[in-house]
Amino acid sequence: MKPVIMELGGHAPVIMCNDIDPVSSAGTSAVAKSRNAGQVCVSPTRFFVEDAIYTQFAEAFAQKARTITVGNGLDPDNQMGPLANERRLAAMETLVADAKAKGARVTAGGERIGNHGYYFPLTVLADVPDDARAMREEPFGPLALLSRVRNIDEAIEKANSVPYGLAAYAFTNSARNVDRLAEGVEVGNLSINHFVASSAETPFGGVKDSGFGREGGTEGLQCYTVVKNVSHLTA
Amino acid sequence: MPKRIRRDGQLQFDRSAQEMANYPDLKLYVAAEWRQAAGQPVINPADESVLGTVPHATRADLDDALAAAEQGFRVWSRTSPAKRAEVILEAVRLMRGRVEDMAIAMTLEQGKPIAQSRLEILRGCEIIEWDAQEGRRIYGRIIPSEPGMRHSVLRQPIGVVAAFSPWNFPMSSPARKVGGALSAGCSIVLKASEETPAGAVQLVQAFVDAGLPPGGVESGVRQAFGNLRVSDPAAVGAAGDVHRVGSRWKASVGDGWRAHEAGHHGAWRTRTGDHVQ
Repeated sequence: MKPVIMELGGHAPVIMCNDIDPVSSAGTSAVAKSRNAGQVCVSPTRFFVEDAIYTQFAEAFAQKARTITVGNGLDPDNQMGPLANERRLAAMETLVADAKAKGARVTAGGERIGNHGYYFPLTVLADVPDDARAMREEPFGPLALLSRVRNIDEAIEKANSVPYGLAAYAFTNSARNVDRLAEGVEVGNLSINHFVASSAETPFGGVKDSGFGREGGTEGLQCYTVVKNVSHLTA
Repeated sequence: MPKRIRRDGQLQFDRSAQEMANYPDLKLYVAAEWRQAAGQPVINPADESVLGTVPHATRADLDDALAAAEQGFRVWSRTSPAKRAEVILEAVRLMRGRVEDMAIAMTLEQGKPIAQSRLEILRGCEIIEWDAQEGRRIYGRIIPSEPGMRHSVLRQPIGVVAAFSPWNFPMSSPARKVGGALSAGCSIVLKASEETPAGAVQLVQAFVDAGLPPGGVESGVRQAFGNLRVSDPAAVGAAGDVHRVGSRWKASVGDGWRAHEAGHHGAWRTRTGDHVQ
């Protein structure tokens, strides 16, 4: 029997509470989403935004997304490179078309750039319905899905509605909200007010279908050891 | 200097010979030697050009790698944690000096902006450093009991590790696995992504250059690198003989693993998604 560490897929929710600055948080979010063209297991993807700040957040997100330059990664002026392979390109096109057909609005990007190299822009979909495929399937690409929620309870419920539980993010200045998020969100790694999901010294990994075992931190090293109890009668 | 691709799709980028030279020769590191093998092309996603050929390990390569890793484990697990940390930290020091070359290779094969490639390599170095330092503090404990009875809890390295890493983080994902396994006193057989193998080749090279294994074990490796296809039953079969599997794969690879699991052990279940990434 072989022990195993598995770090699998995620579908990271981002919960934006109504006590934050929607414009600056949207800017931070767009940059975080663009990292490695969204091809990151912990990429922020499902943005659940409280009603009071939704419109402002969505507008600022789209505005920032349109400024992200896409091109060959060796050019230092480019903020996003191509997708890593052709399969991702096809996946983005399929998921965007499906979301549009179900009522989502494309407010930035949405279509392949050119026909040579696998370029796809940072794409923002607003008002994404719960039944859009992208809300349940990990896009693993530069798609940001925005959804309006009534309150933090609805946000947590929707965050937990997928089989994945790797990383989650939340933005709030309320200790009460933080407590509810820490208790209620089903993930291995929850980051509040920033977008770094893992570091060398902290345990990283998932719950539910996102895997088991941890990498990093003392837990990470312990996963490469076995425990042996030596019982010694000395008298 | 490279030029940017325009939004109308016009390709204006001219790749210089110097940048191409940064893409390493892709080989398997097995039993203390770099081996050539037939394989598949590695594609640059920025312009769909071919960067090189990634070798597929044969069953014989894997058998050799496993045998060498088993021999390596016997030596490495009995090397003091301080000495282990010294070798591992030397590999990190070498990689920190090679960041620029490694970053260019990463951007060529994976596509991410060069600044993100540099950061990923530095982050990989930090991960390995932390693990190496923590490897000196894998403490057990003494449990109080009846007079005359002493219970000692030991934490021992688990054995040879098989690791599989994905295409999205070509260096920092292998770094997680190699750093953790070696720091705990294990040896490791690493299978990197066929699509982005350079980061792992360069990482292994740094460990070879750092003296892993040290001169005392010419015949052994502690790191055997197999760029094999996990969908190949030979590859999966060999991995089945090792003690711990660190994985970070996507569904296509997980499917191959499920087939293996059904045929051999059934000790655990993969729960990967249904879509291929």
